[in-house]
Amino acid sequence: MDRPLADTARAFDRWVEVSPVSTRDLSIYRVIFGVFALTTLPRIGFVSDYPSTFLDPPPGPFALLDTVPAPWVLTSLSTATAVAAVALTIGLWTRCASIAYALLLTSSYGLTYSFGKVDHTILMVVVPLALAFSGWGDHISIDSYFTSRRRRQTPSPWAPRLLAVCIGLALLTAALPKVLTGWLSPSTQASLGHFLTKYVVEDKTGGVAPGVNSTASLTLLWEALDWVTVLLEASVIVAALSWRTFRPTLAVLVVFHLSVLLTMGIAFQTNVIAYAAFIPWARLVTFERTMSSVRLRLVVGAIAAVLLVYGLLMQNVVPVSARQTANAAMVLMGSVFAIAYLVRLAVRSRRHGDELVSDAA
Amino acid sequence: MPITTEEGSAAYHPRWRARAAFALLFIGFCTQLLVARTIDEPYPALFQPSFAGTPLKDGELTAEVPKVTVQFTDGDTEEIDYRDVLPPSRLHPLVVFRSAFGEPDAETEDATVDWLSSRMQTRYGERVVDAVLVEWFEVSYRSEDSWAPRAMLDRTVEVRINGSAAG
Repeated sequence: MDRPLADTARAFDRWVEVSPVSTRDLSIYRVIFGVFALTTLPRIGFVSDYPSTFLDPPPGPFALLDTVPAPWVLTSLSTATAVAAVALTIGLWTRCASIAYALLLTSSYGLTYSFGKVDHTILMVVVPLALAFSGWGDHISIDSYFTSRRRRQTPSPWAPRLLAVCIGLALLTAALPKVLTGWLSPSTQASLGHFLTKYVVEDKTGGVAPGVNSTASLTLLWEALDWVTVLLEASVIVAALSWRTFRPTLAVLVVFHLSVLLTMGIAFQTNVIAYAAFIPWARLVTFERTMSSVRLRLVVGAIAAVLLVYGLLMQNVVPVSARQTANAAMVLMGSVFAIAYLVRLAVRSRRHGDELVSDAA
Repeated sequence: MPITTEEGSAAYHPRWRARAAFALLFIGFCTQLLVARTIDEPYPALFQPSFAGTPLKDGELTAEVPKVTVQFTDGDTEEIDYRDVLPPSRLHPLVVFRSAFGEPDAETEDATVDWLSSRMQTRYGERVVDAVLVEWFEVSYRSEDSWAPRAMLDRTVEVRINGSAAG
């Protein structure tokens, strides 16, 4: 290999393998992600209530769909997805469960997106795929009880970087069409237009929307918001180059998602749960290190049983409004974390700045 | 502790899996952008909602709204919400309704007619439905009119239901 090329490849290797989170952090995150996955399992049974003439699948494997699957296929798919999600949560055959859950979820979503509209929940699929080999099943898992430390497969430290780049690229696909369709033109206030579409046309007038509507005449403010939105979404892929910039950018993005929730009623809960992969959870959650092995097994077993019952039976009876409330709560909770993190960062950098000034003096 | 491997140490070896994963991601990402540009947004693909476009043009918002009128064989008519035609689901009702009844070809699609007939029978029981009329309106809202809606009929789709099938 040419020397410059070899140097670049080595620099790339060094870059990808530095991770801001340990396998213990990721393992705690796996449980949080798994519980979230179980409470948001897609309901696909309704698909069989529609005729095949309603199908309008997007380009991709679902374009081959020319008939609506039979109810037993949908039930089997739902059950398999729930089982995979439970296995992922309790860390049973974690790698296989991660991949199986991602593939089954892709299929479930794919069926519901074959009626003319694709919802953007892909990060729920990307997270388990990217982290399948990260070692996120090495702690608080059935795997860790039955596999000796020596027999465990080496985790891939590059997995969090892969996830970070995926998130950055995904958000870039939100920024590029905005740039191409006039968001940055001073004569358009695109975000105001989208807000008014919700407020006036769709009659979404709850929450802070009336207050926001009263600012509709402030053209400069709304134009600035257009620019901030585009810049924020486009900046994530650049921020992903360094952990130092990536995590604060995600925190700002969560606050942005909160503002979208409050003004337009759209919850980006799947984004918030994906960003949570970069939180050093082991510093916040310590009970599993102090609890005895037997008690921990009992707790994990009981949780597994509850999750299995919920995933297989209960999730279909939980009303849609309860799910929407839970989604909004997830964004709110994420925002609390994000704001606390940003305040801590600001305080630390100010303290660091003061130290530099006193050193210089 | 974060996991790192220093180049030059005994543990260093090329990260072929990582290189392959990132190469695959890059190729897949470029491909999906190409498909989105030339055909439509694919699935599964790494996309986030773009909210492309600027809905507010010269202080005016426009929207397409369907009005559904059920015509019975006894000459009676009833206006219903288009959402009531669809079974409960998590799908975006307007998108599904437009995809199914947005164009006149819905009038002749047997599966669509049979399905609508069955829905009407469930809803009205003994009353026999003759046809379902879907009128698509272009509704505009102007800021200077305090966002009062102004509707203009754009097109009509009439699905005739076989009386015996519906009843």
